[in-house]
Amino acid sequence: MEAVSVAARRTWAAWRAMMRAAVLSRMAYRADLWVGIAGVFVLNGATLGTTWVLLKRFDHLGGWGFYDIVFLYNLWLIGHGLRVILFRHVGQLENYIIEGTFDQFLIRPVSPLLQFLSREVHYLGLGDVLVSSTGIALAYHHLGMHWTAGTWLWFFAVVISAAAVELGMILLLASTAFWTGRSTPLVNTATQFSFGVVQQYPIHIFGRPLQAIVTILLPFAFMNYYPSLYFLGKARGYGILPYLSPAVAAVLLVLVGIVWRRGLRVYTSTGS
Amino acid sequence: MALIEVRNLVKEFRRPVPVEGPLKSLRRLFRPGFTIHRAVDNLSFSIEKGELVGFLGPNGAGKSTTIKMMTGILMPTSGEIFVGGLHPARDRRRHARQIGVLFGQKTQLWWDIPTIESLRALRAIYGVPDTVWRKNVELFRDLLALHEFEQVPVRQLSLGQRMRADLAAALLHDPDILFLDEPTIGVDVLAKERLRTFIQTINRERRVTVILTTHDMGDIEKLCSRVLIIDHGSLLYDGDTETLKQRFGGRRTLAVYVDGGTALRTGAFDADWRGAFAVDRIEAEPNRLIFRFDPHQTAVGDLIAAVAERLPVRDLLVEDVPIEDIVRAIYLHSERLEARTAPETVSDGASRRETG
Repeated sequence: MEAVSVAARRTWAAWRAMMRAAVLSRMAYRADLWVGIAGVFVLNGATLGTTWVLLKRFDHLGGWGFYDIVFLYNLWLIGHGLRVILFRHVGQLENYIIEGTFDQFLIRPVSPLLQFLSREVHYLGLGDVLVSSTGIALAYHHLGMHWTAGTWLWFFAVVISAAAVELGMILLLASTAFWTGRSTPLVNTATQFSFGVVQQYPIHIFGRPLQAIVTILLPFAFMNYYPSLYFLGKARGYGILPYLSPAVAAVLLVLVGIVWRRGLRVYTSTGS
Repeated sequence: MALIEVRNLVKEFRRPVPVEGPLKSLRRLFRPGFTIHRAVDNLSFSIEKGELVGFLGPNGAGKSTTIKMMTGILMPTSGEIFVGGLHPARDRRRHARQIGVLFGQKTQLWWDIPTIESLRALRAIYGVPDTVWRKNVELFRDLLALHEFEQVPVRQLSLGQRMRADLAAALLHDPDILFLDEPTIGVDVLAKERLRTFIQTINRERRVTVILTTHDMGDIEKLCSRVLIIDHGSLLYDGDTETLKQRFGGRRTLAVYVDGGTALRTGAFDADWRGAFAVDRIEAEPNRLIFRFDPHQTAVGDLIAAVAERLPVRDLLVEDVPIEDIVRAIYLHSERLEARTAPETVSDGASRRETG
């Protein structure tokens, strides 16, 4: 027990120190902060603006009103934003390998995965979280929601899960670089299903194949669509799907652990 | 058992066979052929505690691959490595505590933050006690003049400063063994001298075992009591540096460019002439002659004057004997030993072996 707690305390101290180095690294480019946050407002404003125009014409999108979509979109954005703050770089594992930065993770007495995860932080996500919090508040108000403490707790669990689902998926796809040496095209293609499909549309407006893809193969729909069904009172007929986000996140993270371990073995034997 | 034991070490890489013609990337996908490239070929050696050993060899000889296996970054294809009784890749974390590593080509530090902040992060990563950390940082300020640039982000450091910062980072946790992969590459002469002095001090006073790779004969001469020469993944020479120098190194070359053919011109320099100017080999290339001589016995100026007497010199160039030549000399030498043929003779016009 003693040994375990000593190891845990050491890892915790190492993580804090690496995060500190990451934050200091980012602060070296302070001008980025304001430009980045302003950019996020413009970008998200434009996306929501398009949806608003769309809904002005049709009134409803698959039976969802404007503020339903606002909720859907911002639930995705808040999870995405949290992921971006801490883990924006995980999709770029390929570059770490090519540039040789990855080798240094292997000669230090801390898990290479932990070193990789705590290597960078990004301001951009802060803007996302700010925008999406406002968006959620707006939707909450306009939809006349009244959540209990329990619902709020579940909401936060869902937000964390959304971030974890995105992290898990991207890290899984990026880890193929251990085998192929190249994973960026795969990551970029797969995340199109998140940025272009799941982010702003209730997925039941799409055909079955696409729904299956974002539910099973690339389960980004658990970031916002399925959990939204519960918060928006549309969960009936969906079984347990609206409540599965934390479980999906957990499964993905376990998969990451397994794939990462194998990938590391391949990397140390090929050095590609 | 010695501190580092390497037995029959082999490392093979698979390389895709290049496919030519239209749609080559598509065809490669469906017909992925591989060739096996043996980067390290049956290497055996052992290193005792406190040694300062240099790995010498041309590019692509297998030096870095060997270092990567000793540091645990790469797993051997076959053979055994034990470092301090541990298997580097399998006992990764425990092994990481006993070694310090510097890659000349790539910093181990956080690029955008001051060196001192990197050293703070490494303190937590290695769990270095505060007192030890402070003592070591003081030492680095003393010997590496770390204080001159410790507040400057690494990306703004000169190459020499960056190497000093990286050395400090590699030694922060008091490792028993220090691996230096090309620690002086691209560094200017003065900075090189400073790095060498520091490495020597660490080795002598702290009894840190040092293994370094280099292209620079100077590193070997100034630092290493023992040298291992590797080419094509195999060991060509393992012995003390003095012997190596006497036998193969310590020579310069004088390249003389002449107009018109050189083919018949070597005849102008007979054995007596060679003896008088300590020239032990003359190579003829299409438009130049290359004299290899011992600078301790002949002043360069005398040799140039003597050559100019006999040849219409257009241009000339004085250089240290390139590492490739030393490797080749040893290569030829070892072949001769195996064949038990006659002792070394002076050779004219031997073609240069291409090394990659």
